[in-house]
Amino acid sequence: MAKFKIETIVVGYLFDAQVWLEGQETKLAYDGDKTRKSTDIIEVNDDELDISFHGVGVAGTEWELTINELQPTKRQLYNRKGAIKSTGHSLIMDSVKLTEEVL
Amino acid sequence: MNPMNVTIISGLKGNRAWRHLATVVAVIAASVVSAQAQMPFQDAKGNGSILLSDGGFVQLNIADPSVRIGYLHDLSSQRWSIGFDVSGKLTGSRASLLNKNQVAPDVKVGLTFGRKYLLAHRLDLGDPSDLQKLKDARAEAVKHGAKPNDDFGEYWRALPYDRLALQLGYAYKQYSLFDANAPFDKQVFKKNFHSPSAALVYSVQLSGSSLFGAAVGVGRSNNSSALTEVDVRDINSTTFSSTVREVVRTRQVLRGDFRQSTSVYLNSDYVWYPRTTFSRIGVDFYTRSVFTGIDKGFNPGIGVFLSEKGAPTRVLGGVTVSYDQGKASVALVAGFSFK
Repeated sequence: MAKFKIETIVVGYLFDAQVWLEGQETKLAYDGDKTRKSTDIIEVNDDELDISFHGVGVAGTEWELTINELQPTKRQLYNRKGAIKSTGHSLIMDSVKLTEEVL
Repeated sequence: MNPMNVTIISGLKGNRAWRHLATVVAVIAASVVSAQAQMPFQDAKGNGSILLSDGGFVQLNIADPSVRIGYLHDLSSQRWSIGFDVSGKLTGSRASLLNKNQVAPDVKVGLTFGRKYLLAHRLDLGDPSDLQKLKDARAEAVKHGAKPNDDFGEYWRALPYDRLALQLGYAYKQYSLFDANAPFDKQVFKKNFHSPSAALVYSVQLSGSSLFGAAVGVGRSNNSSALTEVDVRDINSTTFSSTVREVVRTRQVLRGDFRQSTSVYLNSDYVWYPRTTFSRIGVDFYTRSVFTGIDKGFNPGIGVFLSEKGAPTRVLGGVTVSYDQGKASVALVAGFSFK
C-alpha cells in the first residue's frame, strides 16, 4: 500500500463536477470561474490509480480533467478532455498506472 | 454687474445608454475577475430566475447601464453555498460604490444562500446502489460499441442538477425630482429610495438542452421609469461693460408624481438550446408577474442569447422582447467574462 499526494483539476463551465480517486470523493473547490481544484492524500493498494469523473452541464460544454502527482514525485498522471453529452452528464471510469513514467 | 438668474427646463432626447457603451467596454476590460452566482439569462430590467452557474463573469446590461461583481463559495463535496454581490450604476467610466464615506446612489448589495440537489440525485460512489447503476450504464455503453474508459454519460439519464437559493438584497437609489408647483428654491429636490428585497429561486437542469427556473420574491419598486426626464438649467448672467457673462448649471431631473410601493412577484424562465445550434444559441421563454404595487401586471417575453463555443452558459449577449399591456419592448443584453 502506497500513499500519494494527488492534485485534481477540473476545468470547464460545468454546473457541478465530482471526481473520485480510489473510490474516495475529492473536495473540489470552485474558484468562481471555470476551475475546480482539490489536493488529497490517496492510498493506492495496487499500482493503478482508479479514477471516476462525473460532470454536469449543458450538452456540449467542454471540460478537461487533469490529475497530478505532487508527492513523492511531481508529474502529471492523467489528462482527459471531453464534452457533456446530450443527457447533461459526462461519466468516466478509468485508471492510470503509477509505476510508469507518464508524459 | 447685473446678476440675473434664469431657470430653463428642456426635454431630453435619445437613449443615454448607448452613449455609455464605449466607456462601459473599457470599464469591463479593467474590471475584477471572479463574480458571484449570476443569472446568465436576464431581461431588460436585469430580472431572471435561472441560477445554476456559479458565477465567473461580470455582467453588463446595456438597457440599464450597470456593472455587477461578486463571489460565491461553493465546494463540490458540499450541498450548501454562500455568496455576495455588489453592483453600481455606471456614470461616465466608473460605477461608484462609496462617495466620501457615504453609500453612493444606485448601489445594490446581495447575499445568496444555496442548496444543490434537492430533486436531482447527487451521485455517491460510496453507495452500492449508485455504483451498480453506474456499472450497468457503462455495460450498456460497451454493448453499443464504446470502450470501457469512454465517456458513457449518454447512458445516464437521471435529472442532472437543481438548486434552491435564497437571495437577500438591498438597493439604494437617489432620484433628482422637479416640482414646478413648489417654491422656487425647493423645485429641484432629492428623493431617497430604499429597496430591501428577498427571493426564493429554484433552478433545474431538465436535460442536456433545457433549463427551467422560477423565482418568487418581494421588493420595493417605484414609477421613476414613467416620469419625464428633463434638464433644469440655472443661468446666472452678469454684465460688465459691453460683455454679458452667463454661468449655466444643468441638472438632469425627473418631472411627475413620484410613487413607490411594495411588489410581490413571480418570475419564470424556460431556456432551450436547439441541437442544431450546437448549444451556442439559447432561447429563453419567460414570464414576469407582479401581483401588488405600481408594477402590477403580467409580462411575457422571449430572449435569444449567443454563448461562447464550448461554454453554453457563458452568455456573450442577446436580445429580449417583452410585452407590457400589448406593447413590445426590445432590449440588448451583453455579458462579458474574464479570467
